[in-house]
Formats: sequence, structure tokens, C-alpha cells
Amino acid sequence: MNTFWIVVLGAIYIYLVYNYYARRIDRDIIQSDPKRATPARMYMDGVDFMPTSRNVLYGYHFKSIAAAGPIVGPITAANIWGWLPSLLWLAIGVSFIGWVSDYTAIMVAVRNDGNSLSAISHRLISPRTRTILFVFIFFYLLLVAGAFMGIMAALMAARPDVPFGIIMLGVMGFLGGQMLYRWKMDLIVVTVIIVGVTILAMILGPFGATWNAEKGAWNWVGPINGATVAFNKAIDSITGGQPVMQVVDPTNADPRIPAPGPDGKRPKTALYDPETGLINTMPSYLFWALFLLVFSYLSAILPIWRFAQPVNYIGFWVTFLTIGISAIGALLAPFIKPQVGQFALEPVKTLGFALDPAKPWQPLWPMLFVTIACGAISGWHALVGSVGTARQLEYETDGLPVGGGAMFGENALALLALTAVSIPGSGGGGGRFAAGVGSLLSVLFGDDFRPFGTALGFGVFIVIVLTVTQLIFRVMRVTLSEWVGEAFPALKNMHVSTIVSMVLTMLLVLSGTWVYLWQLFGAANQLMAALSLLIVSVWLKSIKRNPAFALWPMLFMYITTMAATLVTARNLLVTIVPKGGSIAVGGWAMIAIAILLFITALLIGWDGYQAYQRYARGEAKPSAAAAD
Amino acid sequence: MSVPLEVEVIAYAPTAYYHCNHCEFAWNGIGVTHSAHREQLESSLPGDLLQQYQQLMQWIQELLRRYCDQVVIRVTDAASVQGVWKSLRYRARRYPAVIINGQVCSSGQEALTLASLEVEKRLSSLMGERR
Repeated sequence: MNTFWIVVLGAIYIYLVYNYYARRIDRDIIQSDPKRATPARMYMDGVDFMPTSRNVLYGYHFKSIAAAGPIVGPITAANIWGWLPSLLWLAIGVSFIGWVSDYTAIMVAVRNDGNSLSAISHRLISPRTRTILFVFIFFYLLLVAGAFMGIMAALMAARPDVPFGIIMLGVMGFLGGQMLYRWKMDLIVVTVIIVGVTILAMILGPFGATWNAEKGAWNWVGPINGATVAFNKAIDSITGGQPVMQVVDPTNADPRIPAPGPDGKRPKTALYDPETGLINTMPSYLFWALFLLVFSYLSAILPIWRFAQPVNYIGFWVTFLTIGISAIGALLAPFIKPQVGQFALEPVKTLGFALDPAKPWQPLWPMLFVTIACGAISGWHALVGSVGTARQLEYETDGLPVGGGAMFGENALALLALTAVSIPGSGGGGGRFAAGVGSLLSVLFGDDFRPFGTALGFGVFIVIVLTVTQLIFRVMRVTLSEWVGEAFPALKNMHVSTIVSMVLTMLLVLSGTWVYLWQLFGAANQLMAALSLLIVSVWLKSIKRNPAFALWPMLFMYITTMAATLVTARNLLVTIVPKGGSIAVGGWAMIAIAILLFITALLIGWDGYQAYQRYARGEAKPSAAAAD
Repeated sequence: MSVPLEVEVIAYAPTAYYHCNHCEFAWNGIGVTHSAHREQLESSLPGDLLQQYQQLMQWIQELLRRYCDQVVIRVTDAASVQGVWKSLRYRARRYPAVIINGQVCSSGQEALTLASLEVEKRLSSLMGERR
């Protein structure tokens, strides 16, 4: 298999499903009518409700649904199960569930005066589904912050060539704010200094390191990376070089896991044992996690101009220049380095059904279906579609090309990510991204530049994640003080609310590998998808139309999500909780979230079943707007 | 119908960060969007620059009140890609920098006062030509 056939296959099934299945549902079941007034035309206020060209709306909807999900999900899944199961789920998922969810969420909102899904569920199903949505959103934020923080800390601890660039980013951030806004120095000069020094610091990380071909690893003996290694060792000596905890990453995406050697086996290192698959969490990992928290703390409490703004300013330029130059490398690569990779990853690595009582369990069903959410089916899209897109739809007949079309577009993006992960390379999303930047820059600057380009790639990856995370904490502190500040006045203090947010996040980070966080996030997301399809099924029943095309996918997603939360809870119970101490506390916190998701799914299912039965028996009448 | 005078201002402007639409929808869902962005805007510039920006806004309002559609005004944040590009292009080194019809008119502390005079002069001469 190679990239060409993936493109051909994707184009064929997207064409067939869109033209011969989606259009039929749109015409026969939903019966979209260009003459029926949409909420955008009825309630046009120039703010929320605004008739918009379907071409513009397609771009808006696509940008709203496609974030990191369609990239991280397929990469993670391909690393666990191989590329074939991931490809099949992407193709089947989008064909029978994904577009159905996105498109119908928009149409149900259009037929209900542009109301959000929570408002519709409040009316069609029961009042408590709205509360469940709020719970979902809170944990979503917490899980995102935890997952991001975990992967950054692992990267900083595992790559001695990376931390210096990030430290200099912070230093230049402070200096940049002072020079621009206090000393009012020349903008161009300041930009050249702060961006130039940061890029230089990122590139110089691996300077002086030598490649050990026998071990297939770097000897970190350079001035910067050598000093970082010595510093990490000094920190690790606090525990006598012993790990504070051990975790397992079944995706092999953790940056502490070394790349396979020429024999295809991963070497044993101080942080990783290939026999047991255990990853050692050393005190230096905790140090870098704390460093990132302090970085984010400063961003959360200082005036924006003092730190967060200049850091973002530098971050933008560093990312912009790196991606721009890499793109030039990509354009020139076919002429200078025409080697195009064939798929190196196995089609099927494992189905994962064999259960070892003491080890994490990653059975293909249900875990694949929460690991790949965006790209196949995602509940988040339904939320976005009902609140935003549905209020801008000019004609009902635009619903399918915008809602369904954008979902197929995101599926194509996920296929690209799957293609990228399946050609030679190593590591998780961050590692592969960095290796890609290194390769592309080597096209322009020669093979000797590859390690420096890779270090820059790692730096850019952390910059992208860190600039988002630091602002999530800023929002979390505002949220906490507003939500519970009246009940707990101490939380109105910005330092207290920031620290509480960070402690909660740190508990999740310490509980294990980020893959559990990602899968819990996926489960929360897919619970939303099941809820969205449930609302659509009940709505279709209420207006006497055949709900089968939404009902069966809903049942599949509902049962799968519930099973996945149980498997994740079980994995945490057997791998994290036995470690004891604060690690166990974090593990229990995640188990509590998993159980909470399970209970909310039960409640939603029960309420939905009762509502469906009421409409089936004709005991409840559909609203006029819904029936139109 | 005459072509309006194009007035561009490069200045440090308050900043609020909007995340990807996923996050914005999440924050909107739990009702913190406005407070989170307001908090950022209020702390995005030191006091003196914030005051300078408020003066700029008042100046723009006054300009629009006096000349209506005879002027078109654009403000660019200096600390942005566009701001850096325009600063290089117009060789503006102090802010606010006022550019009228593609030519730097004034920059620095007295920029707005000088720009008001320039706008008045140019519009008067245009009116004279028309008469």
C-alpha cells in the first residue's frame, strides 16, 4: 500500500456515499426544501442569525470541526492496531455515521428555530440532558489541559535538545514585553532579536551531540544538551536514580520510548524497558511538568502584555517561519530528494482482544472507536453545527453540502494523517511532526542540518501546544472564580483559582500516560455523538419519519462509548491505581470521570428511550416547528 | 462620487485571544466567553498605551463625525504580522503612525494632532478642486 491508493480509495467512497446515500436521505427522509424559510432568514440579526453563502459557510463549518482531532486520533490508532483497522473505521464511520450526525444536527436545529442541541434535548427528551452537557464541557477542558501537559512534559524530559529553546522562549517573552511596551523600542529591531534568539536557541539544542550508530541513539555531549542531561541527572539523583512511578503507553507515542533499531526492536534505555513496556517517570519529568505549569501560571496571572502576548507573538513567528520554510522544502523535495516512502507500518499490528489481567487492554472494539473520533464521527461537530452553522444556513438544501460535505472534508484530512503516520518514521504525533520538519529542512540545508531541523520541529510542536495550554489555564481560573467564587470566596483570588486548576490538571497528568486521557476525551466526545443522534432519532419519530438511518448508528455509538469508558476505567484500575500514593489519587480521579461518563450515558439513554416510546405510542405531540 | 481619503493607523492595540472554534464553543457553552475575553482585553496593554489607544479611538470617532464617508480609516495592531509588514513598508518606527493615501503623515506623540491638520488640508483642497 502507498499514499496513492489511499487517495484513490478515499475519493471513490466519498463520491459514492455522498451521491447515492446522503442525497437520498436528504431528499426522501429529511425532505429539505429550498423554499422553506430558514432561521437565518427569519430571525436575521447580523450577529448569530445571518444568511450566508454555502461556499463561505462550508469553510466556516470545516474550520470549526477540524482541529487536532482528525490528526492525533488516526496517528494514535495506527500505532496501536495498524493502519488497516483505522482506514476501515474512517471509511465506514464517515459513510454511515459521521455525515449523518453532522448533517442531521444542523437540520434538526434548522427545523427547531435555530435552537441549540441542549435546548432541543431539554424540550424533546428531558431537562437534565442540558445539565449533562455542561458536565461534559467542564471535563472536556480538564482532559484537554491534562493531555497537552502530559505530552509536553514527557517530550521535555526525553529530549535534552528541546528544553533550552523553550526556556529561551519564556525569557524572550518577558524581554519582548518589556522592550515593546515599557521601553517602547523599535518594533522591527525587537522582533528580530526575540524571534531570532528563540529560533537560534531551538536550533542549537542538539549542537555537539554525536550519533551512536550501534545503539541507534544520540550521545548528548554538546554544551547545551550535555548540560541538560547533567541537570536531569542531578534532579533524578533525589530518588537515587529510581523512578517515582512507571507507566505504560500501548500507542508507543510517548517521547520517552526510543525509535526501533535496524532490527525492528526498540532498545532498552534508562527510561524504557522493551521487555515489560514500562516507561520510567523520573523526578526530571516532574520537574519539567512543574516548569511548564510555572510557565502557564505566569501566563495566567500576569497582565497579558507582560508575558502571554509576547510569548504568543514569538510563537507565531517561529511557527510561521518554520512551516513556511518546510513547505518550500516539501515543494522542492520531489526534484532534490525524490524518495517517497512506502507504507512501513503493518496493516494489522494486533486486534488487542487477548486479555492479560495485569496489563492495559486495548481491544479493537470498543477502543478504536473512541480513539478515532473526528474524521469518522464526532459529537463535537453536532454541537458546533446546531449552535453556529444552523443559524447561518440560507437554504435548507445547503445543509447537506455544508454539514455532510465538511465532514467528508475532515475525513480526507484524517486519511492524510493516517498516510503520514504509515510511512517511515517513529514516535507519536510530536515525534513524527518534528522528524518531518527535520527531513524537509534537510532538503534545503543538507543532511547535516537534519538534527537541528528536528529540534526546531520539536520546539515548534511544544510552542503550538503550550500557547494554547497557557490560555486554557487563564480561562479556567476565570471560570472557577465565576462559577464557584460565591460559594468558596477564596477562589475569587486569581492565584488560588489558577493553582486549583493546575492541581486538578496535574492529578490527571500523574495518573498515567496521555493516551488514557485522550481515550477518555474521545469517550466524552462520542457520548455527545450518541446524544446528538438520539435527539435526531426522537425528532424523526416525533414527526412520523423513518429514523433508522440515525437510530442504528446511535445504538452503535451509545453501546461502544459505554463499553470504552468501562475498559478505560479497568485499565486505570490495573495499571495506575496499584502504584499507590498521589499516582493512585490521579488514577481514581480519572476512574471517577469514566464512571461519571458511564452514568450520564445511562441517564441519557433511559430518558431518550422513554421519549422515543412516548412519540411511538403517539402520547406526545411534536411541536409545530419540528413537524414542518 | 469622490474617492474617500484613506487613513491607516499603525498602533499598539488591545489583544484578546480567541482559540479554535472548538474551545470558543466550549467556553460559550459554560458562559465564560465574554468575561474571559474582557479580562484579557483589560490587561493586554500597560496603562499608558491603553490610554493612548483610547485617545486614538476618540480621534477616529471625531474624524468620522466631521468627515463621514469622505474618509476610510483602518487600524492595524503594530505587534502583528501585518503591523510588522506595514512598519517596514512605510518605515514607521514610532506609534501611533498615521499613513494617509499611502504616505506616512506623522508618527509618535503628536501624530494625531498633525494628522488631523493634514486630513483637513487634503479634504479642503479636494473640495476646492471640485468647486
